[in-house]
Amino acid sequence: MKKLLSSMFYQLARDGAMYRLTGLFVVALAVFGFVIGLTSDETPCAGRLIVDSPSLLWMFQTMLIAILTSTICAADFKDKDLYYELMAGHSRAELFFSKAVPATFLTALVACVLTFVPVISCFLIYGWGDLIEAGSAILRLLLFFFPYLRMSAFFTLIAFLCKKRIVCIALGYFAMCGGIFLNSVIIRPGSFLSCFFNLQDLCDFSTWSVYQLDPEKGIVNYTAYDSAIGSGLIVGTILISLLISAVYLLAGYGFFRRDDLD
Amino acid sequence: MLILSLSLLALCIFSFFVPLLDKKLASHLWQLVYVAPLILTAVLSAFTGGSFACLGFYLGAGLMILSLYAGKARNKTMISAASTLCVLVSMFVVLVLKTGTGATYLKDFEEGFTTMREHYVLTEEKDIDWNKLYAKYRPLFERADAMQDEVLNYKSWLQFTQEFHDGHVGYTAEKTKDEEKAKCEIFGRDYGLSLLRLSSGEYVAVNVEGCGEALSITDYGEDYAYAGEYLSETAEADRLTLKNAGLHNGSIITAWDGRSIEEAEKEVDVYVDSFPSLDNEEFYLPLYAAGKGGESVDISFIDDNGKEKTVTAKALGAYYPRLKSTVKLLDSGVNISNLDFQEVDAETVLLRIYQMAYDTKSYDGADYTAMSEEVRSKVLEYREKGYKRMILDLRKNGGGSPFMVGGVVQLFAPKGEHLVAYSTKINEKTASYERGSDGKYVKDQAQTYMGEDLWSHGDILLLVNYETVSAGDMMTYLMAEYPNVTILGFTGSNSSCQAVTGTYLSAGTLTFSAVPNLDEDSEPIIDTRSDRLRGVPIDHVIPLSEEAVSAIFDRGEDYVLEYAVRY
Repeated sequence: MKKLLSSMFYQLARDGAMYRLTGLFVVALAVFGFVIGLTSDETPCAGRLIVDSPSLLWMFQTMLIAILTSTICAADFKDKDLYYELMAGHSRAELFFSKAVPATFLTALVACVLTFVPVISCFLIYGWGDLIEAGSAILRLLLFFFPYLRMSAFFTLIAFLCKKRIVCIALGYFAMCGGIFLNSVIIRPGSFLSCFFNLQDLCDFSTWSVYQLDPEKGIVNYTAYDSAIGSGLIVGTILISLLISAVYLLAGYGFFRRDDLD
Repeated sequence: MLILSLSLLALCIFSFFVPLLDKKLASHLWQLVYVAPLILTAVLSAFTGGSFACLGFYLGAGLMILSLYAGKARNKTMISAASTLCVLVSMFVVLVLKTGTGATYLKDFEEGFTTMREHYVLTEEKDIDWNKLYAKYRPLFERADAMQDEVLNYKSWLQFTQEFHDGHVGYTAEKTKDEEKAKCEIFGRDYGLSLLRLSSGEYVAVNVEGCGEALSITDYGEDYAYAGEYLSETAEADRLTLKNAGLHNGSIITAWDGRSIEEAEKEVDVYVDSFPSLDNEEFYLPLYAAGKGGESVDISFIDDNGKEKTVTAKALGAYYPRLKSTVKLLDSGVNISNLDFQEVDAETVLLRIYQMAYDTKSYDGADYTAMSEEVRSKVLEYREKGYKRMILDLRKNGGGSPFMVGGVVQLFAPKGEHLVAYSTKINEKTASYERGSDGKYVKDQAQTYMGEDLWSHGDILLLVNYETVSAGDMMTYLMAEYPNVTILGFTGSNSSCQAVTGTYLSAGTLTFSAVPNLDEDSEPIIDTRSDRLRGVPIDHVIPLSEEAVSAIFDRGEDYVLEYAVRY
């Protein structure tokens, strides 16, 4: 197991394509953080980015997770590495968990870190603003790790099922589009049924908008955001994400154990 | 919902063929067919709120995953069959029985109630007891939710919002058709007439089926198309029962189903609109009593020979269309464009204002210079032509911009600076309005205007009714101060003037007063307090006479306008 893990990390650490890809995502997200401020009708700030454009914070990570998990888990089917490792005497459990568990955690972690990129870029250029409290916002973004974990586990399962990297990436693209569509249709899902709903709920701030009748300007709008995050959402996000991730991984292992690998 | 369920079913059926296809076209991708239902079920459940009725979908999708581990094709086929069966059961429950996909009426109430309790701006002024309201209405919404009763939900919202006696507190169902149907069920049965109380105190029949301008059940048209399904089987045959018995518009009604009309009035527990002032409510109350009764009612009236007669009127259908039509006949203003002038006679000119909106450019702003200029030139033109009386028809004015109000009233106000209202100091962090240590709101900026007194040579008559609300109320309130202005109507204006906002719920929209407009003493202007005395005066209440009833309901005349011309 230890050897399998170290060989996997060795391979990843020397994969230039992965670095370039991650770097591309970092640059794209940082640019988005800047551009979103330019296009905003209101005074741009990092707080507004989080409350007004929550999809931007996770949509690209869906693709990245699909690419990373499929690279770690499905690529070995293509180059036959996995078959050699089996012939070398490693058990299927060792093979599966040495790939699936690190792939799931690593990609979730990378995705979570990337979530902060547009926020930090927006913060550095426009400041934080006073719409929402920074502490609460950071907590919400850190909690993104758990739905990402769930998403990674799902793509790991898919990678072991179809054994094709391109299919995983294509599914990642459709999942990204589907997630954006669903979250635009169901504004406040209030459920943990899908990781997209969970992500949306983590960015959902209770708001109250009212206007004032200004003799000079006419109608002037004011919106207040409640930054507090409910304990139910925190606990639900963590427990359900861990539980479902475990189910996906076990389902993947159950399949891989019996797979004839032809 | 249907599309998602069918897609799920299609996947389950397709899974029967996967082992076969896998033999012919061997690929690992076939495994995805067994995972896809899981994703689809998550989406489907999100739309249905993840209810118990979707259990079959969950089981079906879960079973399908087992196919990944079922080695033999026969086992996979059996799993597909079980999954398909589970999905079909849930489809039947959700799509046919419509269980578990209903509206969340109680959740809506909780959300709307909480928002309103936090942000309604007249809580103290109207002595609102929120705990009492919650205890009274929560069980109603709980019942509506349990029974998925949209009529009870709508009625409960109407009753709840009318507790505030505020024309700006209201509820609109998401679907207009559903709302109109609910009203058909809420406001009782149609016996072929409405009731009004004359100023002399007698109750009279109005809008009697088959008489004059009355609404006919045979001619609902597009306005009342939804009411057709409530008509009784014998409605056509029974529709002229009252007319044939000699009862017509203006007939004095002495008893309603063997009791006084006051008794029937006591059964009225909800109105179409809120009546902030008591006198307005009293005027319209008999109208609502005319829907009270069973399959038929015995109506006692004085016939043309002066004798008391009783006629049994069978219910023709839903009363709401006739109620609506009676209010329309009573309260519609002159039917010309907004801000249009009309010469009434050689000395009188009318300016119609049915909404405080000029154009989209100015609506959100405060600059109504262009509108003021347009109206000013017309006013000056009529003054030069020698017109001495100006009638401002504000009937059924649903409100709009207070800045437009300023733009109009400045033309007629005495010279000098006048106050429209003060805005209220806002806490930008919480988006809520601040009260001082004395409990009063804190004044912010004053909206003022300079009077031009363009009509100082003549009289101005302001025509209002209970549907003159919000900015319409404000205009009436401001002009009441001018020496040459007289306010006329069967009733006064609505008496609701704090600016309004809405909160969107799953089955409708709750609106309420959320932005205070203050006077010099930091008191919200115009709105009634807990005593429900009107906040805008009326100088002359037009008597509702037999002549008025005949003119309105027999001849379709604009009696209020004619009265104003004669006044």
